[in-house]
Amino acid sequence: MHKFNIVFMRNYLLHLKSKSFIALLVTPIISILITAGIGGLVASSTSSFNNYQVAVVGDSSVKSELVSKDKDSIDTSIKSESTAKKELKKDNIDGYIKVSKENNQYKINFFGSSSLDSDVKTDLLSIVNQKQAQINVKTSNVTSEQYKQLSVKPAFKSSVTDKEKKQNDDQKSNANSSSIYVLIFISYFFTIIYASIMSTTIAKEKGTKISEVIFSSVSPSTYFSGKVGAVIALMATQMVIYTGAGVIAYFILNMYPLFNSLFASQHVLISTFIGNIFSINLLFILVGFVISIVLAAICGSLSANVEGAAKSSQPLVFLILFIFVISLNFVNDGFSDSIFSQVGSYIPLFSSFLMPIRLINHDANFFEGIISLLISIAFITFVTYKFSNVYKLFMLNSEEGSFFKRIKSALNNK
Amino acid sequence: MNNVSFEAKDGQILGLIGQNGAGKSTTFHSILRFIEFEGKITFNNHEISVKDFNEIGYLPEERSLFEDLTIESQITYFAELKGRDKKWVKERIDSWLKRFEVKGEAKDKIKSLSKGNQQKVQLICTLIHEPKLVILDEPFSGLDPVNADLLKKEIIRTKENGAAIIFSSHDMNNVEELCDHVVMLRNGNVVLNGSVDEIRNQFGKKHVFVTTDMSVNELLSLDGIQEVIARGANRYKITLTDEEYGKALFNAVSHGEYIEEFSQQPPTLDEIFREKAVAKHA
Repeated sequence: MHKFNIVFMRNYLLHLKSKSFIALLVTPIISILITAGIGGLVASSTSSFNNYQVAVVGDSSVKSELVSKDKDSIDTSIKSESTAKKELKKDNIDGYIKVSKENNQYKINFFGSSSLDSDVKTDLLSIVNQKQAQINVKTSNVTSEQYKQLSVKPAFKSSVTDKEKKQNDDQKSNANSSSIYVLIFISYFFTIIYASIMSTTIAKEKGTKISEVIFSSVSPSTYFSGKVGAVIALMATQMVIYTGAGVIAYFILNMYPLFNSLFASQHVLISTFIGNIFSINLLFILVGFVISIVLAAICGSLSANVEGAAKSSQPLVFLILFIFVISLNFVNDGFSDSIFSQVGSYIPLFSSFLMPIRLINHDANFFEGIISLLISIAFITFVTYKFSNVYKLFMLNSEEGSFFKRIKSALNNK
Repeated sequence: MNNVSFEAKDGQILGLIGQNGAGKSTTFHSILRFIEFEGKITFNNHEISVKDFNEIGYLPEERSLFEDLTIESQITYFAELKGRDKKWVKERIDSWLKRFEVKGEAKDKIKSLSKGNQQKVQLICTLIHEPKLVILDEPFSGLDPVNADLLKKEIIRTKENGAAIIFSSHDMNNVEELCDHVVMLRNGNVVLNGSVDEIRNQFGKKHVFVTTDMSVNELLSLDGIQEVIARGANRYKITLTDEEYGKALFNAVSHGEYIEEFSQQPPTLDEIFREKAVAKHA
């Protein structure tokens, strides 16, 4: 265990400090920030154009109530009609509302370059109607009972619940398909990237005598496990960093009203999406990564030298690409329960793509997921154990020639 | 490899010699369990296994280091794999770099060093953990005479600390100078096995280095003379058909008088190596 830790830590830190990993880590974040920045610039330029602002002058009680309802649309800095006129002339506001009261009657005048915003108008009329009603009650000398009678309103029942339910269902459906796509794409890109890192790392030591020095110090299985473990930990680090960044971004964005209302309106989509990602599906992705990394290590050890690492890992890359393309055909609910998808969801590596699709689409239950997961874990254990026994032979073999010739030559040294 | 058997004793240096392909590296690979074999290799009275690797230092024939690491991290990493504590190693690195006269600082990258200095770092990696068994595959190749002397000093120092050392070399002068015991392999078979003196004496003291006024023809006319090679003015190297003719030769060239040089010696290891290598083709 001690030597495993040494190999693991040395390889992990080496990868972690490498420029390529930092680039791999930062590039997607920068891309997102640039995209968001461009989007933000576009939004701010258009929003500054569209930002509707009016001033309210006159009756202070109406103004304060309107401000409490339409804070974003009211420019509270303007206190007098003369200032409002000047600001309107300068085109700094879209208009101003003048509220006055004469002979127990509220009078509202709007002066603007365009019509008064309908939301502001509704809120304004609601406030003023209420105040006018109070004055009317006072001046008409009606009793409280009569006032109650006069205040009876027509019954109004909202059927918004059904609509909400439908909206929620739509959001869930959208969340399911988007989370499937996200899972598949994450699986594909991370698998390809880390398989490449793993095969190159292993192949770097091929064609040199460094393997001899290493195997004169540590058992091949310990060394192999340490190296593979380091790459898995590296990948986990990247995922943890992204998850952390995502959580921090969520809380920061949630402080802005625009995003706050967006998150609130889309909470079903967001919670379903997160629920789909951070569940057994994530384990499938991780297991898929581990299988790919182990297979990539085998490919790397079969290359003649580091230059041949990419060539040696081609069969694995093609296999992952094949599974990726195939799985895209099963994303939609209804297709994901075909016989191919059913069988594939129990085959290691295929299952990392296909089983999450079936689980999200409710074509497979949790128990089936666990069985598929156990099959993959058993596969990893078997392959790692078997390969760590011949890893030394592959690494110490410097035979040139075809892929199969190198395998034969390595095994002949046994 | 067939019936190869030899012993490397504590505090002794064993030279493994033989032509290319004779089986030297295969022997090392067998000791280190890189390859499977029939037979038994023991270390401290038990069959050698991966558990013993902490007490073994190995220098492969071709040098190889992680070029992106610093000298310090390279040495520390290999020593840690040999079971040494990081702190223990770091305390010793500077003195090792000084002893080997490595041109560079501990924080320098391996790739910034010259080939010779990289080789010294590799030797430090092999020896710093104070192994009990040291295997050096062609340790002198690529080293200039000054650096070869530095390595010899360290090999002797390691031997004096009680380690058993096995090294292979094509330079018989180094083998003769350093080794207590020599094993020669040919086509996977042991053809010589013994101390340097034992092996040389096996071949008889047939070589005579002499300074005399006699001519080559006069010397060749004497009994038991196989070959005469002139080494300079009046200086010859004479090969006898049998070492017993040495006394008669001495009498013939000295006539009972003082002579400047007469030395009867067994063949050098280099000569024996060539003879044995030629015998392969006979």
